[in-house]
Amino acid sequence: MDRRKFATSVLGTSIVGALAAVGSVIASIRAVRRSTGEAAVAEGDRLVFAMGANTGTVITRDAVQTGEAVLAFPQGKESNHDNLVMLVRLEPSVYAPPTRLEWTAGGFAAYSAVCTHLACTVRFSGEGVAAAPFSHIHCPCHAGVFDPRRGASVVAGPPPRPLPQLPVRLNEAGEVVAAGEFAETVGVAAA
Amino acid sequence: MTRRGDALVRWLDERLHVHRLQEKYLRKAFPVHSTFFLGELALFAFVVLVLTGMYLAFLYEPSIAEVDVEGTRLPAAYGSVLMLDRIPAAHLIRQIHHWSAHVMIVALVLHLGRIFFTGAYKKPRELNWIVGLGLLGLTIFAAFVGYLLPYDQFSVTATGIGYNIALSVPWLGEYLADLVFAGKFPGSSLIPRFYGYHIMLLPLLLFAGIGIHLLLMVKQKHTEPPAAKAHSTGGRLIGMPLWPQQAVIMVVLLLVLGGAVTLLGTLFPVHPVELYGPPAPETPSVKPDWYLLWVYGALRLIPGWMEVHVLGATIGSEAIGGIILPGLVGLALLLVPWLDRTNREKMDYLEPPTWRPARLGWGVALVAFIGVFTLAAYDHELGLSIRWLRAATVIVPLGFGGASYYVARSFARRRGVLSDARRDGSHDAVSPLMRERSQ
Repeated sequence: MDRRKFATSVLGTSIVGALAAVGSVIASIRAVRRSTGEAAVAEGDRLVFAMGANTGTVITRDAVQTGEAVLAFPQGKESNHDNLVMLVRLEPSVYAPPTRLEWTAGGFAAYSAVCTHLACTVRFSGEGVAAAPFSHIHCPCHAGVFDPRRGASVVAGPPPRPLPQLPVRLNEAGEVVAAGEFAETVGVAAA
Repeated sequence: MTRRGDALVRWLDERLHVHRLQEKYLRKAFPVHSTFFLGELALFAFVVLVLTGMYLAFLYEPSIAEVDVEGTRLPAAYGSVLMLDRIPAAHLIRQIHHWSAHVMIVALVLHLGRIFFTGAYKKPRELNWIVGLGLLGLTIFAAFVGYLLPYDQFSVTATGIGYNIALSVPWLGEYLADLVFAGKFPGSSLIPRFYGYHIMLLPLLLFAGIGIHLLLMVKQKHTEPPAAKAHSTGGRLIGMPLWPQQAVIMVVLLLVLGGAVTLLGTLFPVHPVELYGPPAPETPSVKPDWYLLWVYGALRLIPGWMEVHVLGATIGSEAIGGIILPGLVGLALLLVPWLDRTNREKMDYLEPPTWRPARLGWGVALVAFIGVFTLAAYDHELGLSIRWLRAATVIVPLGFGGASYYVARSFARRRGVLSDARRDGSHDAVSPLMRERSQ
């Protein structure tokens, strides 16, 4: 091997080596992860107000009027944003599939409050708009509209799928309690 | 220069041969034209950003650990900006920093427009066109990253949307989002990571990129307005020498910029963190800064059913609006020097916009395209229907682009630019100004 060839191969090898080293160093910074506050909502969790003056107090049947909705967290699991729930109370008779009727209780239905488009927190509106002339759930970010009577299915806008439903029941004290976990992935599904 | 000044120059010259610097660089000619200061403006805005940014870094606390701020538990980052805003000078400097970022991006976009519409990207300057686009991309990323740092409700919402767009990248989404945003959003390592990007990685890349951009500009020399051709002998560049004339103009521009951003920061406060409040479960009605409004508009316009499945990946509406559309616009801009097939000889004199009707048409169409998506960001406020806007994304660019093309072509015909070029068999059109002079 002459000198030029040798020098070229050394140079080539070191460039490949350097790139590999830089690549693995960059890949390693991905590993930093938060380990706390990731507990997901589960059967038996009582729902508490996520916002406002009553933040942290347990939501009872009487705390929410028919035709209203509140943002709720499972008690003690407030640090995981994916647990945020839009707790809707409507006339029990208006619900129809794809809402899982056995997952509603006393007019209460709970849907993930994390928009399936880009994970903004959705809002409830008691008044109708042109695209949805009824009480509906909408996203303030990119104008997705969901129908809470029909399984929070997408009525308008960019969201790719409905808001996942969370089964709820009312316990003896009239408190709203999670009766299980979310049936589907909450928020944005990775491509 | 005074005798003492002469002595100093001589002292330096004996040790560093500064007279060679003078011969080589300080005589560099800067063409004089009212559109030739935009790059400089961006550069000076960057200087202001670095200086004010260093100051802010001393007061800012890059952590989301909860601290006690006057009896309220708040993330340390948010609390530190809240406290910073109580110091009048620091509040003003934060405002100047924010406004300078806007000025820098405005200047970069106008600079890009000037280069595009006058054909300055042509051979031999294709490389500098790419470096310039890279600088624009880095600047927008730096602005996006900096937006998070106050860690208020608005900035966390905006960054969350960025995270979820990254998550939607086909095949690589989960990996990429984890890598860029330091794990699941919003983790405790997010702020330190973004702080690192904002004050170390991105400024260094920008410094390096600006260095390359300027070196290439000095090496290849400026393009010149076509009128200069008539005055030039032997292909020499006509303009003001860097020292002292251009330097004086630069200092004036820097001072005017400094004054303007101070005035803007004083009269029009931006991003009031105290009003926005700390991060909360609820999402506020937030729109991104003006340069990202078109992406935001695209995210609103692209319907949810628009979803493609390719090789196990789902390309949804959020990927189409947030990644693919901006990516295609960026790619088209990168390829401009190769897409434009007119006059591929080495070019030193600019082509006024109307000389190349096709380029003008495409450029206007792109501006109109981005304009319609920007308008879509205000569909609710302006009472525009989504359906109308979707149609407008096609019709409006076609209309404006086509109209510009035909108007420019008729101008060019009337002034004889196109016919001259054809008669000579050369692709290099002759300046109408020169024709007037030669008559």
